[in-house]
Amino acid sequence: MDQRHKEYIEYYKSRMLKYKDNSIYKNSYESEKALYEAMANASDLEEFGTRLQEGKLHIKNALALVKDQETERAKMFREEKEFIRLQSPERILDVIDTADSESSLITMVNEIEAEVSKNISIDLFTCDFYYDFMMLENIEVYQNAEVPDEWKKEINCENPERMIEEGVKDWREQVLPNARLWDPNWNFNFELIWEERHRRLIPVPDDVIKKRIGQFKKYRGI
Amino acid sequence: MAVDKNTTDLILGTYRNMFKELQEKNASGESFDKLKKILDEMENMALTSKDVMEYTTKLTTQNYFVDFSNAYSAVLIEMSKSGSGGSSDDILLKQTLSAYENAIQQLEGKPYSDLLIPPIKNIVELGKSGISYPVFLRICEEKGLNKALEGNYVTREVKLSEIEFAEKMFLPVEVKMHKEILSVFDEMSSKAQFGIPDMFEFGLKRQHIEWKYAPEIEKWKMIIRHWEKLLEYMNDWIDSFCEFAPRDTRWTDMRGIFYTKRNIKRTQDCNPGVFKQRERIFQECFGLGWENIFSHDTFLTEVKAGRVPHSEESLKILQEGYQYCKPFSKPEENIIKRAEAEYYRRYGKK
Repeated sequence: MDQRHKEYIEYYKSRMLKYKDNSIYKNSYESEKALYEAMANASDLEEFGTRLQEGKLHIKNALALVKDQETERAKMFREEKEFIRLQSPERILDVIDTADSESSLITMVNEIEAEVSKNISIDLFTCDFYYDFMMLENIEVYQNAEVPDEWKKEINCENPERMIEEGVKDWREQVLPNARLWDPNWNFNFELIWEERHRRLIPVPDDVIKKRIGQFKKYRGI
Repeated sequence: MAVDKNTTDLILGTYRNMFKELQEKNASGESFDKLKKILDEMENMALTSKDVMEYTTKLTTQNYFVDFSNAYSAVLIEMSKSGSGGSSDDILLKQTLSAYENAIQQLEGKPYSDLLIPPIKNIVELGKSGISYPVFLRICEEKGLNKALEGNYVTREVKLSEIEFAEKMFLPVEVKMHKEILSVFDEMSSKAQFGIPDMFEFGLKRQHIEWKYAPEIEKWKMIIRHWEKLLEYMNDWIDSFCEFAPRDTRWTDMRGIFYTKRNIKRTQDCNPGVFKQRERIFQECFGLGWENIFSHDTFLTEVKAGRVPHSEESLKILQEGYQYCKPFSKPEENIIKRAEAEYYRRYGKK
């Protein structure tokens, strides 16, 4: 065996050993092991090249790393109940074995991540509800504030009515058209407020949220 | 109406630079042509979009960013396969070291270059020591020289900066969060081969910790927003009875003194009712009342941060004014006099 071949065997061994006993990189360990064995068992480097190409070992190596990393990402998003973000690793893991080249792998991953990124943006429109809280509180305050008779019309009626009129107009002319640039069929989905990824970021009790939902519908004319 | 040039330059700058780099390397072929077509379409869309929101949304939803990225990757792959110099070990080693030396040049003078450049220099020195390409590759693996390129030294420095920033800004929840992230990084480093944690795994842990703290950060901010409003209503109500009120921009009206006085009267008559509703909402959301504000962690932190725009005396006045702040009432005369005196002490008499 020539010196260069021996040196490459040692190199591929070092690549394999870096993943040994690593619970995250199980697939990567196996694919590096396959590369190492192809190199160690080949009679010469030319034979290794043939084994590499025929077995697509280099492609499988790239796929293995992506599988390991996406598996960990999926685990984290599942634990966090971030079900929209979870779409990305799940979809990648579903189709990854169909990739037969570096470019098809890159294209596949990029396209899935871009689409899921859109879905995340659309899902985040749910936050419009929480962003309106200050306004909803102000409307509630004005509607219920105990004020002398001479101010009742302005404070208890005109102020909140004007705010609601502006809110409906803004929703119709700005919020909805902008959201429909992302999804032409988008409408606010009130069930999403209770999904953990959204609920956890609204730091008020459920009763208050239920009240705000009713107020939000009036404020935005939904 | 087109998107203005400065905004377009900001959005497309990176993509133009990426294209130009490939042009300078004499890239060609189908993928390169496709890349050019995509960039041209992105440029043209800036001229036909009505505003920046429509422009960026279209770029995203019509997949221009991802298509550009895919085409760019395809060009790079084609260039790497096209025998740019051949594939013998000597050539591969030369290309590898050349890429690292370019990286050093690009990093010179950039932030954290004192931490980023030495590991790259180590690799270049190794590569020039006369060893063969496979031995070079093996030593890089065995000594973790490749891992050192992942920027873990910078990561730790950045984390320390983030902690320092959060401390200086008096953001205690963020301080807690960043310290926990740093602690995870140090623990992973202590257990890792070569003392360098796997940056992908660390990235996930960091992301998870940030996710974990997000609700607490949100709650902290919301509590502040609520008591800020309460202080504002109380302060405006007391001040509306003061001698300076007709000259204060909170009430002065361009239409003249009649409307100015009406604005003052509105505050005098209505703020107690508004204040009570705000207090009710504060209680409903957080189980907190007016009396809880001044000992609450959020308040004490904001005072230390210098973000509470009331002096110590003003805060005393506000607290004492509370008992009078009921619908159809007014503050006691002494409260009004003290508020006037404090206002003139802070802003001078006009």
